[in-house]
Amino acid sequence: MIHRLYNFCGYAAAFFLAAIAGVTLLQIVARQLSIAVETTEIAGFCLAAATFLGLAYTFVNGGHVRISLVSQFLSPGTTRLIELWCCTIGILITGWAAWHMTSYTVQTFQFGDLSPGMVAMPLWIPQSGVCLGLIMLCVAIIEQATLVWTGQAANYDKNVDGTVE
Amino acid sequence: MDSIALATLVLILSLLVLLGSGVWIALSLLSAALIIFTYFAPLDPGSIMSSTMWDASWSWALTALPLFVWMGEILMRSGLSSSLFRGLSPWVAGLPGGLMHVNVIGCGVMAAVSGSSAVTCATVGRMSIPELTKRHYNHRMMIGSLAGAGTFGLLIPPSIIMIVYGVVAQQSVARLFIAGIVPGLLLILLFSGYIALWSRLNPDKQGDVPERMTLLEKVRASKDLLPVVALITAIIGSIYGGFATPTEAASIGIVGALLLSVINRTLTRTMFIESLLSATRISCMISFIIACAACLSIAVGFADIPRAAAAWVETLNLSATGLIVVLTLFFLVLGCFLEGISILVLSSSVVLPMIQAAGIDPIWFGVYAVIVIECAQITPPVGFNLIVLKSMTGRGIGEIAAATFPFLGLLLFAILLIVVFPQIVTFLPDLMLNR
Repeated sequence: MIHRLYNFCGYAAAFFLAAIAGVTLLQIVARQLSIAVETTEIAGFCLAAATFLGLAYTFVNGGHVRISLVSQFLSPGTTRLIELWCCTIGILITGWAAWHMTSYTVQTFQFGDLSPGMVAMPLWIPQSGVCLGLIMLCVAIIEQATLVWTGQAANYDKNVDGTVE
Repeated sequence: MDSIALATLVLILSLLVLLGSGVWIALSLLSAALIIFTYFAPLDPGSIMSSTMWDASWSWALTALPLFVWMGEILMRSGLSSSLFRGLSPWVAGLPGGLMHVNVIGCGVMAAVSGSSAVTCATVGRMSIPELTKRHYNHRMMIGSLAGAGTFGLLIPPSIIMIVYGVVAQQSVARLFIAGIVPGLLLILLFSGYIALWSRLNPDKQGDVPERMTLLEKVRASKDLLPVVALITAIIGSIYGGFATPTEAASIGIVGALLLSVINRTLTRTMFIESLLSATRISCMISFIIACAACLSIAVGFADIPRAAAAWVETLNLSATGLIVVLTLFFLVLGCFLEGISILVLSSSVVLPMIQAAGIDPIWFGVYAVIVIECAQITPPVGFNLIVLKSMTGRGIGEIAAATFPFLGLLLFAILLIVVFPQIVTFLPDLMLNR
């Protein structure tokens, strides 16, 4: 159920990744036709959206790298404790980051900050994507922690790509 | 103990505990940043770290990164492995070492269109492992050369890790790309030379002698390579010529990669979506690490550690070469446990001020750091190329690492060469600047 939400965010992130290429190509074509189109800023916003909306999706697919040396030499019981410790740290820090990023975005909204380039987009719009992504990551770690707690295998344990970096 | 030394100690300890216990790297960096900020900076961490994270997540230079990742993912699925093997093998068959050179040169070609060493290694290996095994080539040498040459993906432009370095060190990504070309070619030469020498010394371990082809047949066999060559020329040429920024070159590269897979009849809806999703996961992981590392940088900066580190290097009276030797050892040890991008972003906030204090050219240092990180890709227990080859050949990490060891030596030799002759690195980008 909740995995459909992760996947939805993942597809949204993929859309924004493709959009970086899209808007950059648009700029190249427009330049050939001598039309002034400034998309570097939009590309940056798409990058932020692609990164943060993809966080939870990447997390449950085992995409975030970590050092997994210690757990190879320990008993399953100890490994489970360590996994719970990792999840606790993860929940605390992402929760903290999500909280402060949200209040920062609320501030940007209240001050009416605009982006510095030609587009002059209100900055709270792309920033909300960042907040949403951090909140989703926190939720995803909580959900995975409940799996570990009840003794099931966590989804993040298996990297679907195999060729990270 | 003064507060800077204490902050440094706390920084090292918290990173050791967090990273060592297996907390995700990005989150470890962010947690360490919060700890340092809370105890050693006179400000409220919440708003500063939020704005730092936001600023780091939409930088223009970084937009090239997901695009090059995506391009590599498309090419990996585009059937390029078989055209590389078919196109290159007739030309190298006559050399001592025979088709083993396909690993090295194939990786060099693949590296020029992809920015990652794992993608390079996997794409070339997919075809050359079964083909070379069928022809009774020495297994050890085959795996070693593949793991070693796969690391070219980092050095030969486009390169993901150079984009990361350019962003954290505030250097021109285009110049870094150009600076990687000559050292990349040098490494290809070193690797191929070693293979040739090895096969002269071990005539009993040769593979099957391939049949001779006429020149016309050779040319015909390599016509599959034309689209790749065109793609390489378009990307590197447009950056070198100053027609395109790395991001624009990457966008054009994606169009080119998609065209190439249309030519190879491998472009399907599934393949397109898979490549895009895979690129999303990988670039999400990298960009999030960069955003979190930016927070750590700012926290460490507020704690005054970089200035103290730079001042400390000055008091040591270490020569630039001495500093490089120390840093090489430091990076190699880190490289046993961390992958390349994490090493770079983790150390940058402290190491870069040291480099400046010692008067080392940051572009040169970027290329140097990339070669050291290439070593990290093939050092056990955590080396990504070793892991890729483990899944492709089913052999143990230890065996693969032992087979790769001579190539690790060659990489270290290349570092020695660029230390003694820094012009190898700086010549091309200087030429580009003075044009």
